[in-house]
Amino acid sequence: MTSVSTQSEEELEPDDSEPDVVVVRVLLTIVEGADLAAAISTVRRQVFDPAPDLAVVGEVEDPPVDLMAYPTLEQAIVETDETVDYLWILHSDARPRPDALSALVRELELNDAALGGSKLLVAGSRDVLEEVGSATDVFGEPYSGLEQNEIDLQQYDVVREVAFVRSASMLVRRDLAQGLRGLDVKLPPVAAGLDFSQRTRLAGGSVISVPSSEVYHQGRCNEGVGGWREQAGRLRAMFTAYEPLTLAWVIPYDILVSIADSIANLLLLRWRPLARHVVSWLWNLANLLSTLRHRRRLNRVRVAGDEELFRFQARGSVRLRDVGTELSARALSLFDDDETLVKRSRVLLTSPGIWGAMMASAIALVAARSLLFGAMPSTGFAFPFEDFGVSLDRWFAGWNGAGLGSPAPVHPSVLTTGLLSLLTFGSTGAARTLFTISLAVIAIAGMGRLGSRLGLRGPGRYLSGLVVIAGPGTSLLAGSGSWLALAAAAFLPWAVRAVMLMTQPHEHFPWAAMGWAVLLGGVLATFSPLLLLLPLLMALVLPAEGRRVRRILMGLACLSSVVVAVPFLIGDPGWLTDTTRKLVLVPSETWTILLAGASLPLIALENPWRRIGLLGSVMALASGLLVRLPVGGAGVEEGFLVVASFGAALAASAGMDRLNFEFAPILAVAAAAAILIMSVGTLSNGRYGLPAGDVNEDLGFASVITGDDGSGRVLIASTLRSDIPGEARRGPGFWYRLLDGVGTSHGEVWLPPPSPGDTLLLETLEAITKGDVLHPGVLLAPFAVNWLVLEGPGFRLDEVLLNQVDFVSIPFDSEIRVFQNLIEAPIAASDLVTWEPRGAGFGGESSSTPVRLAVNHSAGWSPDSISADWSVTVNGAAGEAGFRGSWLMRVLSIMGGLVLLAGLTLIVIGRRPS
Amino acid sequence: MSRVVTVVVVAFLAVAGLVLPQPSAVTPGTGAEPSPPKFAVCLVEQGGGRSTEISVVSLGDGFVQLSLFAGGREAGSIGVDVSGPGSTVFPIVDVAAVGTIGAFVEFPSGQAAATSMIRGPQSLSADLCVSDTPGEISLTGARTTSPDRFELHLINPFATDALVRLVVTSEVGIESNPAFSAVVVRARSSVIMNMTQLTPGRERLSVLIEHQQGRVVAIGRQTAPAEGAMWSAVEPLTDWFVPLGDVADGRRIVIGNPQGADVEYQVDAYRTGGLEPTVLSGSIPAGGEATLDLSDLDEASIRGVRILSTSPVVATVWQASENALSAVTGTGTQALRWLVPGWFHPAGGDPPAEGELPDLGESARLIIFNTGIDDAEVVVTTLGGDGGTVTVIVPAEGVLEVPISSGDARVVDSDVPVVVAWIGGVGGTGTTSLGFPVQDG
Repeated sequence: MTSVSTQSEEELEPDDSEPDVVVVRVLLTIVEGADLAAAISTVRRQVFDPAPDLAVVGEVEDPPVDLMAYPTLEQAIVETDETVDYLWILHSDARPRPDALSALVRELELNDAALGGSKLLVAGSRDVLEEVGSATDVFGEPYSGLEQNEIDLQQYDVVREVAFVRSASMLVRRDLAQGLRGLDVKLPPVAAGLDFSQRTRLAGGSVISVPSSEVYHQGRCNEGVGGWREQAGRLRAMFTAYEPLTLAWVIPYDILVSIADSIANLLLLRWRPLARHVVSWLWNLANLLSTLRHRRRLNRVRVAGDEELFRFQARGSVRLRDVGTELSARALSLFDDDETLVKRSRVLLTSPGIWGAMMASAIALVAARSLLFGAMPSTGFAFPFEDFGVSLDRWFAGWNGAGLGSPAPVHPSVLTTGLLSLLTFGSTGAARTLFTISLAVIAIAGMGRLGSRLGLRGPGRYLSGLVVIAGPGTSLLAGSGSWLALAAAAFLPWAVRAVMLMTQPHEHFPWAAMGWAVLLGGVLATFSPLLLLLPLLMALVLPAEGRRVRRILMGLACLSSVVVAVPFLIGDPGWLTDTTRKLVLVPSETWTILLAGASLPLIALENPWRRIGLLGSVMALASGLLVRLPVGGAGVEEGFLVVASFGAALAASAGMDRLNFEFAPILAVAAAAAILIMSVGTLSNGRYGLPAGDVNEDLGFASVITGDDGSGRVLIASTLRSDIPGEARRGPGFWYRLLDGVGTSHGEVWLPPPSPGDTLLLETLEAITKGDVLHPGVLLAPFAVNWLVLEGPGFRLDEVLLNQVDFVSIPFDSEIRVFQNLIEAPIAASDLVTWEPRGAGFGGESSSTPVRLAVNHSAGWSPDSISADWSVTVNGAAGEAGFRGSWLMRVLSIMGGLVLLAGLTLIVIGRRPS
Repeated sequence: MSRVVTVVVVAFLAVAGLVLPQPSAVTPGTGAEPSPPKFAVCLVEQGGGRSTEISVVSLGDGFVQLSLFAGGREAGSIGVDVSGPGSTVFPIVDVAAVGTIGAFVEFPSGQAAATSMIRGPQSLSADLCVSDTPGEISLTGARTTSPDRFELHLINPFATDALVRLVVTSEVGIESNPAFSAVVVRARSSVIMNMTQLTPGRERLSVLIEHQQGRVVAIGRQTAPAEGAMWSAVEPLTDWFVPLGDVADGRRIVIGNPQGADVEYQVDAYRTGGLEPTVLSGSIPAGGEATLDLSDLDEASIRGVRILSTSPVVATVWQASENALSAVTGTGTQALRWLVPGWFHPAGGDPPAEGELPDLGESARLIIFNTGIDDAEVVVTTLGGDGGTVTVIVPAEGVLEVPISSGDARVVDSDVPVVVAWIGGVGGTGTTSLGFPVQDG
């Protein structure tokens, strides 16, 4: 309002007097790519009297001859004469309705406002809202409250004060604009609007949104796109507007929010937010002087405090809220691919997927009670994790410390366990416990999402996740302590799902999906490499109209991840071929009957239930049959057993999917429920079926008594295979293996192929068990065997240890027989010093004499390794010894890492914008 | 896949799953055949007018080491290389003056044996050193009536402490002394149970040693005023062979029954005229013993006996005279090859000092006991000295005595399984000891 008349004069004016003439000048700011002529045309169609003066702001090649042109907005504002009441700042990519200006003027006049913004609609759409004025948070992050693609049904058509209006179409009092020197030229459009709005409010003006002023906005000005400049601009607007006291807490708060935002986005595989935060701060530091000048200019006209800004700000951080919502949506979508929860649908409790997932999760929680409230088992094939550095060292062609050690690569799962340790900042115990507990959740979500992709919608797809980890095969493996089998079973559905694409050939190639296939395949390969064949087989077997080629491609991509496990498979082929390394686990006949019985009602169902269910049944039955054949080693056995469970899970998933009262579906549900119940039964011990025990606790006496450097090795022997933690070697009438006295770790679960030291150890044990060796301690000392632990029923070693003079019986435990070697037997020692394990090698005080390492000789040891019979001596001067494997193994390890990295890159690059 | 094909496939898999046998479990490797132990545990008395020799015979080459131990520590040791077949004698006086303790002899192979011979001014006792340690061992025939004394030596030469329980039975039944319920024998130590004090005045005493933990060797020492006998506790058996030879009268067989039930037994006598089966038979109550006086059986013609029982028993032959006391426990083993250790310094050794007993060779002889139905052709090879072999025929179901003129060790080879013992005596005193049956390995 530019009238200079006093209140009394107004009151004296008669009602029918001529209203004041409002003069408006339109400043049409050039937007690259926008049609200027069309913009001018729409402005000239405005129904407003007098017709507004029109000027063009910005660089334009051929400015209309009848219009004034200004290079900058500031200049245009400054040079506007005092007869003008309002300035309508309008982007050239905006197309206002003919009454847009009049509505703006009318509402500003009525509300005595200084700045008003139009309602922005998406150009070319059917009234899709772009913005109707925005609130912000304390950091200036806009918050419109609009849903994506929300239609304008006039639901926001209320004139109201807002935190800011966009510069695409804003009407501002000319005097205020000149006092504030216009928009900040350093800022991009949205930030400029925010900055101008805030300064307007602090100068005493109010900012309103005028929904009756409708403007179609083409968006060519890049408004709404969150680039680093917008972020930097918001930061500058904050520095300009806030008082020092506010800045004192807002700046640290903003830093914290930026860090949290960056981390959360990294979890979503987005790195740009982190870069944006960094760059925006750098930009503001570089423009600090300019900001301070800007701030001083504002202070000259400031009449209100920051409280005036706070009134229109949302609580908390909009950024964090958005990213948190996305994260939780992603997490929930694991169980809720229909996004029922996310959309807060009223059908929440009637969604079979949701209650199936909830029920399965509840069962899994109960099944994990001992893991949650007790101890994580460390027995069977489940050993504690090692630190990330040591794990990576071992995996990267480092020393395999199992038994007497070997240059043969460790099991590829060492890489995964190392990464898990890294994620928990070195807390290996927490990593192991949390990951193990989460395996059931991963399996449940995986089967649910896989079922969904295969066309299932019922609760069975989630409940069958329990069958994957506790079905006919995995229950046997878990019972023998195979933690790896649980992990493999949990990730198998995800790998299969990654292959079973739903895209059509005419759609863009799903690079991100291929990345997931590679990455999930890589994870699966680290646990059980042979299972990588299954996704490809599924892609070949399951019909998919028009999708098969892509699925096969994905299956091949998944299979390519086997590179991760190639070093292990090359180094220890017996894991695949040696039948004596099998645990000889066979699903019971009850399972055979149950699965065959469950197939019958499935035959009567229509597709996809019949196809999926029968495929699962056949897969489970065939695997249960093949595992009996005298072929393959432990890896093959593990693969068949996990596939048996996966097949049973598919059958259960299909059987429980159709809930109606017809005969065949009822029978199918009953059979599937029987499969589920039988599986859940094996989870009753509260440890997902894993046996209880802690080998490091049981053998802790070794390091307690003799210290870490002198504890040597423990030779554990029994006639029962299951008594031996991890893999066992066949001895003369008993099973045995060596464990480090300081404690054993995940990399030692599998024993590498026998080396000369292992052969000699076996011969030594054979000699001892003959019963004519009076000094077994002397014979075993070169192998650093400081302790003998005999488990299970008494056997030959018990007898021969009665008549010897080296091993002293120590009554530590009532169940196991412990003998200490009186002959000192360190693993790494010279005549002068004893070394202890350091990482994947050994270290201690430097020694002027060579240090003998009681490990199998390999040329990779340094410094200056020399073969000493079957063992190694190294130069002791350096005080440490390390190992690096052959270049071939190193190259293969790098290739494995590169494949995983390639998968990750494909995911990041191939992601569609969210 | 059509429904029919599906049904067929599922049915096939199900039937195959039910019909196919379960794969057999992977088993550990086959254990090697046990080898005979390469050690022997002996009782040693050195000092107080008594001296001990440990004589060793070995078929294999290698180092033979003798160590004395007491109180958990080694009290002394001595070793010598033996080129097999060969023998050696360790006078304990050359090792240490140690009193009554245990000695541990390590052989280069399991085909070796040692004998402990304790000499006193007027006594001589010898016994084959023990080289096996079964879970339950027993000895029988002891007495604690004045003036006889009985000591039980529990010797643990091994690395692990032993805990044993003694079941002592006498004419009054099972002795209930708490000292017997748990006897700890520390590693490389000995415990001497003075049974004369613990169970005084008993006419007959048997001891069953049950191992709770570890292993011990148990040796009994029965002493009369001027004589002493030494015999080892052995594993009870159902079939015993006891070579007797032609010695003075006064022998008695004591059969101890360590079982918890009555045992029927039968004694076959091998006389100069041949086998006389079942010269004695009867029943022994649980924990009891039977004493059979051979003088009741035309003792002069008996050269050996075989004792059969329905449950494992222990059979010991005692000979007591005015100047002699010996005890020899039979053996359950018949073998084709036997080792007989010598009993004095071989060539180069010092002659006996004044007051010590001289060479036993003049009266020493081998007893070769053939229980088979075929004659045995036996070759006796002398180790050391001039060597030489003697070939004799031992008739079927008969006993032959072969004089041996020196204390050299001997190897006895036979073409049929036999039992070999030796007898030595001088100046009215004497002793009997079994040879060592050689097993393969």
